[in-house]
Amino acid sequence: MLKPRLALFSIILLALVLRILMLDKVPAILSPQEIDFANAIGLSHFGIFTIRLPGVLMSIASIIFFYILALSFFEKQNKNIAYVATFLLAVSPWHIQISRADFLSNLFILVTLALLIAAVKLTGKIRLAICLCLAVFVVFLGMRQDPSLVYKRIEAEKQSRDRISYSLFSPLSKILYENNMSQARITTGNAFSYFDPRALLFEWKNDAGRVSPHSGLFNPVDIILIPLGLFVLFQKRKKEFLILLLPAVIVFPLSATSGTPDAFGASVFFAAMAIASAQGAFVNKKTTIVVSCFGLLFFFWFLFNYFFIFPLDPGLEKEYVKSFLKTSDEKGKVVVVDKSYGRNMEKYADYYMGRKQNINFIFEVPLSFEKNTTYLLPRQAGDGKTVIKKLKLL
Amino acid sequence: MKKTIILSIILIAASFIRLWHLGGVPISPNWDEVALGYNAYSILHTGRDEYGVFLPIILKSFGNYTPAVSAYAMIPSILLFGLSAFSIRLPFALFGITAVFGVYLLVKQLMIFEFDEKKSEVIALLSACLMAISPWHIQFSRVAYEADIAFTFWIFGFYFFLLGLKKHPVLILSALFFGLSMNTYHTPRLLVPIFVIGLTFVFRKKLFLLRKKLALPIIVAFVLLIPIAFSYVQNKSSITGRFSQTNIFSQKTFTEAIYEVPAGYVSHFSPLWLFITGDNDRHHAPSTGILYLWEFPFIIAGILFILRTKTLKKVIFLWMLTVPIPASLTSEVPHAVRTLFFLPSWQALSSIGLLAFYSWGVSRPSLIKRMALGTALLAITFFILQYFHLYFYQMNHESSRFWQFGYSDAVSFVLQNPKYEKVVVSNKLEEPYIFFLFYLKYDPTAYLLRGGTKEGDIKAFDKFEFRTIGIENEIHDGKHLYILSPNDGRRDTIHTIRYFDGSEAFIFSE
Repeated sequence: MLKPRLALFSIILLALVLRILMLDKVPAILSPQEIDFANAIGLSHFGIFTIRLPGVLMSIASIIFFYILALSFFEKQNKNIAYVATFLLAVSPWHIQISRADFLSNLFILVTLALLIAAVKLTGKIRLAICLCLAVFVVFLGMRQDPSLVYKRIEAEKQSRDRISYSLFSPLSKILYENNMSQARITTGNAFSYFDPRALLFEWKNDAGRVSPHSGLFNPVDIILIPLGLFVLFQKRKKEFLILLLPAVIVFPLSATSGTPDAFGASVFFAAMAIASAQGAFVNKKTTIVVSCFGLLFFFWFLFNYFFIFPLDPGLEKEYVKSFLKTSDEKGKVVVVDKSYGRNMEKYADYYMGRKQNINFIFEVPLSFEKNTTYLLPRQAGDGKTVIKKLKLL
Repeated sequence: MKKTIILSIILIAASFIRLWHLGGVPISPNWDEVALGYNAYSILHTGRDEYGVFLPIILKSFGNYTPAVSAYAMIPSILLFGLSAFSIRLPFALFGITAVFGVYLLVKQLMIFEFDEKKSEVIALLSACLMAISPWHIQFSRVAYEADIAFTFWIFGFYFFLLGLKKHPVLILSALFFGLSMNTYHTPRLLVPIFVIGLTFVFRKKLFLLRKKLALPIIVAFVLLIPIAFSYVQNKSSITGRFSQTNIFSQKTFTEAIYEVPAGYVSHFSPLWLFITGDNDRHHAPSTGILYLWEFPFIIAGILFILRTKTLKKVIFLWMLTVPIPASLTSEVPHAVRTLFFLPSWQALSSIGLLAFYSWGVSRPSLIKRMALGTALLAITFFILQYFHLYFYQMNHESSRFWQFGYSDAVSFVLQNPKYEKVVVSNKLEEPYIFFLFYLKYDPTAYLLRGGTKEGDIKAFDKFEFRTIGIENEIHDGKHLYILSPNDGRRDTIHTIRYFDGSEAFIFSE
């Protein structure tokens, strides 16, 4: 048995270091969600570090909550598994990246963990009621707004940009319309994309600018530990483990949007995976030693790529932000050709140029250019990357 | 008796699905099929391939060094039916039908490890049925892809290995079929040794008892490696050439490739790839994956079920985990052709899941159980019908571009207009010379007398020339016909062949 307080303190300290290190530099720019958060609580005049700090603190709180959950889960079995599970969460690439880039997701994780703790600890009808609350909370979370608004939002997005693969509730209607059939296929594909092993373990190509595209959300050795742990947990603790898996229902509402797979939305689900991974590490000692060596290697690779490679390629947003900063002194009309495919450049413009600016957003390069107007045009550079050029006809 | 009738029905259905409208779906043979077909035609008439190599073991083709077994397999049907899309695809369809029977034998032999005779029989029949209607298998047994034949050999090699544990003389057949598989397609050259070593490890105790009787199978295996060794000695690149082109290490830095290999490996277990998207458009019908979506829950149930078993678990996991290894060393991952070899393992799992579901449904039947069974049956029927609609009707409309549609019409146009003294075809149309040789049924003796296929960008025979075209700088005297790709530019278009989606495929200029 480890010395409980010391073990927990060490894990939290490690977690804090991994989450605070270069917080103002990685990820390279604020996400639209962080801008919203900064505006909402009046932090917009502070630096990136300050804007991100509440999220980090929330994530540390979620590690403590997770420890309580793991402890209540394993208290009759082996408490050391709880420490290992908490440690795995502290060094989880998924949790580290989310902790550093969004406040709200961390808050939602905290609430989910609180409900999970209650559901695991309690029994009978109260447990059932809490599970129901958890499911409803998670589904609503996936929709972000109330369900009736989802359709409206989807329709609005479709009309404005025609980029959303909207398909909620279509499995029933797919039999009637060929169009709906393809929508159902997209929805199912979106749901399956959350279980793509390549993306999960090696290269998460979504959530551009917020999550490193050069590594997965899990440590690749989890491909051994998680199935092993799942197998044991299904045999020994079926009921409790199904409760832990409950937040996975978030995949259904999330699959109805074009932004899938979404590491931030699905983050409420990783508690079960961390617990399965920890349980997997206790199945066979020899396997665990070998796996740990590789795991350590992959972890250092993740740290290197997240802190040193990822900031070098922050994505298109950074290019737009640079051009917005260069244009913030312009007094005339500014036209931005937005080729970011729905990454919310308007929000960046508002934040970095101020709302007084006369800015128009268009999605195609215009056939003719007006005088005394500044155009921000995306161009392909020699190395294949997109840069934003400023054009003004006098 | 009952099982024979059911198996016969399954095989008849498999035959119908594989033979119906064989030359027309997919709409047109692609360059790989056409190259194999014309080389078979050439071997039939001259004993030599397009390059003039006598009874080749490996076909150089477009530099992809295809093993020639598939071309030899085509010869009887070309002899019977002439050179056509149907005749070149026929042997592959027949091998496909044989594979359905092979899956029945193999799965039955596998299930005997854990189930009684009756259950093994049911699971084997279910697996054969799933194989007969499998989108993955239908796709590759209706086209002339050498992987299809290698896969059938592989199934029988595997089956005779399992059978050989009880009746040791048939281990010779196992060695024979595994060896043939290695001589038919690139992937088994790496896969078969890894897999056989794995099987040897799993059944080490039984094989140890048979150790004195293993000499002959090992000799057979080595004899079948002679053609590969012989080709290697003759021309190293005939064996390593294809791997040099496709392996990940030749296309990325060593560090990137090291990271890419496990990433590529796990991508073969992506549900998105398996059930929804598939990979290359030539590898699946539009809007479908390579397995039926309805199989997903049954596969999960099958996996959960076999976790409780002893030997079956080891063999199935060995099978599923080794097959993606060769494919993961290449650049295009996930890849449905290179991993065709683990298709029956998915079907075996699906069948176990289906049987478990059915057993649950009929034991102490209730209204809910009946409704669940009925709904599942409806859903399965719907998905199967939807797939056949997509494959036999939609695919030709949506994927004609990927099947290089239009060459047959292009050759017809040339034949209907004999006034042209010179026909120049753009190289941008992807190896057009082989399509013209194929559709003209050009006499291989005459072709080889003119020197056959030569290295380089310019190829020619009779009045046909295949090269890069700069349309503005060509001769425009009414006697020259230029067949251009839409990317070549144009001048005085006299005829256009379009894909089914309306876009241009071939442009004819004078």
